[in-house]
Amino acid sequence: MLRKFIALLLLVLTSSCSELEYSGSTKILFEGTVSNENGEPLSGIRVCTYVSKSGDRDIISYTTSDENGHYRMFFPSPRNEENVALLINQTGPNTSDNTAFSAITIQDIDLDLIKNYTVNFGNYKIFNPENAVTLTLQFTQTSEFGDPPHQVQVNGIISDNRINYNPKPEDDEYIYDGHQAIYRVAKNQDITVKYIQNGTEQEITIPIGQSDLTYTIEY
Amino acid sequence: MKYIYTIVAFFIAATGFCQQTDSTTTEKPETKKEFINLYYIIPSAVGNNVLAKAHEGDSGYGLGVNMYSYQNFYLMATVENTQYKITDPSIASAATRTTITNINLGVMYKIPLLPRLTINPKIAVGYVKLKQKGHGNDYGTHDGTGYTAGFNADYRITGPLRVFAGINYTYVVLPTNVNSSYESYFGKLNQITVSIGIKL
Repeated sequence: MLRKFIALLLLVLTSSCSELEYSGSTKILFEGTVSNENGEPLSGIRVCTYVSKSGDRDIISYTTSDENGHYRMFFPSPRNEENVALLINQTGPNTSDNTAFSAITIQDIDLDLIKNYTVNFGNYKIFNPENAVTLTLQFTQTSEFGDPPHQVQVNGIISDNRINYNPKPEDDEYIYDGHQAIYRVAKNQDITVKYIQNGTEQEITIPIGQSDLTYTIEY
Repeated sequence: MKYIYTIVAFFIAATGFCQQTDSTTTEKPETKKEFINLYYIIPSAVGNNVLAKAHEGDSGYGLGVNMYSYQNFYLMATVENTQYKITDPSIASAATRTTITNINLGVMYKIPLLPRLTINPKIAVGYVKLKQKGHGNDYGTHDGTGYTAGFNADYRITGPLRVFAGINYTYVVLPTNVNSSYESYFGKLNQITVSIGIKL
């Protein structure tokens, strides 16, 4: 009987510890604009703020972009979150809203680093996935002692893109050794690939045209 | 809102009966003291602030207790709980409702108009707590101070039992950590409440 009581008490205590907690007296502002691949503002695009920790997750605020593509959301500051993310054209994580456009997830937003309780994300572009081509990044070892790239970031107009807003070095320890990464990207743009190799940051620009493209990064 | 119009119409009608009493009237003006108020609240908000722009008043209740009285002055302790539905989640968060608890101490003055009718202006100051909840989640509390001014009119039915209706304005100040351009929007609220209840 005592063991059952202790087990139940532990269950209650741990379940409450796993819940997200918020400060009602601190309001965080997320704002920015959404446009298509041509830079034209998009209205009616769903934007959400997603907060999560192990055992709990929540859409803490949501809105739709106005006629100027602008969105603005206020929400109480979480106290014990593990991840804060901005979801563009999504109603929840990995849940697309308007299928006529691609989606973007901006994650790992560190609220301790923001100023004036505000994050202005600037402009993010989304596009019609039917007008996409495939970019394949191929990481190939060509030197016996070549250092494989890591902390690879791909930037551009990418379908279902995930962007680490405040990347931590420990976020990506994956070594792209013989790795192949496939992306659906908008036509007629430049894709920027940044990565760490031999302890230094490398950056390359890949022009995207009208056709699928395979680009090889050698090391 | 229609309830507010009804209450205001009641007050106008009540003051329309203010006239010099006939010398043959035997009933004396209202003087019986009140000790406790129980009432239903119809809450609303005005102005350019998060309560007015992102909420819709729902309901509430209140309890007032007379702590001390001297002649027609009453020292009243009051607890009120009002609920608002959130109508704009982009401003007030994805919670479903905001609950405002107001605990204050105030001074009321009774003005007899007729043998059974009094009008009672009041001022008060106290502690205010906002709490947001929804979808099984708790979105935190926000503490501040409320400054209240208002009045009610009560009609004595029999013995100590009275019915009353009133309207209050509460200026709520909430210290808020937010983008400096929005400190007033989230930190200074204008609450309007209409009350209907009984006094004993």
